Amino acid sequence: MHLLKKPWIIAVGVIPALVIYLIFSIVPIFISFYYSLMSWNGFSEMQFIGLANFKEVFQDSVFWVSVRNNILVVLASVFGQIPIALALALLLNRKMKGAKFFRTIGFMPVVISTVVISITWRMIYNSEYGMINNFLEAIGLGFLQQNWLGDPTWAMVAVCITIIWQFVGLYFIIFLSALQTVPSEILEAADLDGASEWQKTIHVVLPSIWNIILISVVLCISGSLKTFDLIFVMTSGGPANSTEVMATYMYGKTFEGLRYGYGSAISVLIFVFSIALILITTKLLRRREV
Amino acid sequence: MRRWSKHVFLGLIILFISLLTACSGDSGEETASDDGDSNANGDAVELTFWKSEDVGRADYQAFMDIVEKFDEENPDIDLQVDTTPNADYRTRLNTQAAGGQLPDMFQVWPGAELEPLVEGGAVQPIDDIVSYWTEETGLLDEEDFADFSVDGNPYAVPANTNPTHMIFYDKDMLADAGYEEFPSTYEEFLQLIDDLNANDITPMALGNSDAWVLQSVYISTIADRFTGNDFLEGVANGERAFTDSDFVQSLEVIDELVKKEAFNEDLNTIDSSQMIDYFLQGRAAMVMDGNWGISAILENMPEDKNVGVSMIPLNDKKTISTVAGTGVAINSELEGEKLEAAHTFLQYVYNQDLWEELIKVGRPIIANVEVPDDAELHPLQEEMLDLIAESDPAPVYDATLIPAVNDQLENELQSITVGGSTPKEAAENIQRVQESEQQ
Repeated sequence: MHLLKKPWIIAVGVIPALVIYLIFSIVPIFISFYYSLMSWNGFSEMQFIGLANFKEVFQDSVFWVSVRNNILVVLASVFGQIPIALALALLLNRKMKGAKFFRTIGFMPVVISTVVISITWRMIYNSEYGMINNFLEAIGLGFLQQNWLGDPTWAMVAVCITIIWQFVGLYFIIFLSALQTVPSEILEAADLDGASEWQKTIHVVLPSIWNIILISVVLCISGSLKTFDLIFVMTSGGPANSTEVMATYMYGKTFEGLRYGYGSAISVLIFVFSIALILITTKLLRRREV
Repeated sequence: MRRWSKHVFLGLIILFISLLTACSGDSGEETASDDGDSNANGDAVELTFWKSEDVGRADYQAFMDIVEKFDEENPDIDLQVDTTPNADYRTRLNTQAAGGQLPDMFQVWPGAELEPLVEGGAVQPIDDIVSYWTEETGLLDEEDFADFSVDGNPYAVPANTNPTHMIFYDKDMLADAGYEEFPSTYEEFLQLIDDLNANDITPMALGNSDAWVLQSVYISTIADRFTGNDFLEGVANGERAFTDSDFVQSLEVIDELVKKEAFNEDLNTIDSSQMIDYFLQGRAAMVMDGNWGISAILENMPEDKNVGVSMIPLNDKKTISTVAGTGVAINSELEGEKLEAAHTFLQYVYNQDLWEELIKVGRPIIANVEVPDDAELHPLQEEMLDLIAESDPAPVYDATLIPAVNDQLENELQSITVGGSTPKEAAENIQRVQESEQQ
């Protein structure tokens, strides 16, 4: 009785999940393709306007600001979260006092709700009573004070720092568990050969967890393309669109500006950009793997 | 064996599909009827009602008390009230409307926000019951319904007017700066800002992180002082434009105030309730807010604080942007006894009691109701009502503009505060959206 050899039995198992997935994930993508060709305010009759929405999106400077910011978030995540998490994991992988405590502390931001994080950091960054500015003042570096979230030059930097802080813990835990799987025999052999700690890390430890690092990078990229909640609560894209990312811009146009067609055109572009970025990264990473 | 399994498979699929269709049924209705059963009045007419929530605001409480009383006194109507925090309510309403899933009755805003609901056929006119107010009880006049009327048909009952521009100021702080009275000319007002700054006091608290404050509280009134009452109408029919020099001048006022450092530095990162906090904590000498701001001020004001109210002295006019407050509209699909129940609800709620309660909490009402004998108004409330009485109404931008244009206006105002756009560039950007929306 090899049940799994019978395709229809497999189908019974797969179809329910597949149907739900299709209805809630795939079909809406095609529906927004359709909406993106329309002019629609959500209430009245839809009007077919061809590719006019797309033409407008491409000329929309704010949209390109949001694309740039989205790329910044991706870069900050990949080059901020991953190295910091890796360094922390390597550090705490050794037998040191309080390792458990630090592990818990490091993971904390991951389990805190994004809304709480956003509001807390908004207070930390506040230019009049915020912790950072008060701290700078107290140590005599008052000239470094900034209106962190209110100044377009600093707002995106401030947001990226929060995003890095929020997710370091996640990759830290992933790396830490990967490090536990590095076989102790190899490490001992390296010790016998007289390898220094640095050499051991570079030549033994990192290569053995390389695959995990690659997976984390992919997770990191796809996660930061979806960024919405943190920015929405922290700045809602402001001031003057300076922290807008594609998802918040799409939301604003669709549900606050009541332009469902235009919003759908933006979501279609988010979809295209995401697919392109993921294809590029997997291609790049595969080459490295060889 | 194989055959038998095929039947099972088919059965499973049918079961699954029927499950899905069951799920897709109107879940709102299902939960409502559950509640109805638990109230043990199975044959009661159910009415769902959505309202935005302003916990802690006296006028919200007064309205909800009457809604509750209605529910108690009408056992044959099972009212299901569902409230959403104010900031999220519009988004929720608009999204549900786009999905065609609106409740039986829901709070609506007048003017530009009501229009798409009418055009989309989501609401139905209440013209058969208007006579209840205009003739039977005489509480309202025909023209009071204007803000809630589209193409001559009324869709909701107005309760109060909602002037969106007031300046609340700390009398003692102004006195310390040498002003016994609130400035009566714009030059004097700018001088006051300089004098306060010289004393190291933030002149004006502003919380514009949600972007509507500069639009609704500031520009709606400021622009009217330059452009006159018919400007927005003119923009809509193409005779006027946002790039007209008088509108640009009004944007320059905002620019000037920012450059004079009239505001707290974090104006774009705090919200409208935090700006009231700043004012009450004595961190700023003034705050501009709508008439609703008085509730939070009276509620949380330290006893020794001496607050006065005024409007911006600008261009010899005494206009204040004003629109009717929110109303309750009826879903276009309602008919028969449900519609009757909805009409009963409106007639019960919008009545003497509500208006008297609103007067008592200091809201400027739209109704022929006398101030009740037991009303004890705070002097600040009286001052504000006097101020409103001697002012002329002007249109409120977000109640008049197409949402996308309003969105752009709010963005550009924010942009002016951070030096991103000059007033002229801002005006051009707003006009561009206006033109593309009108096509």
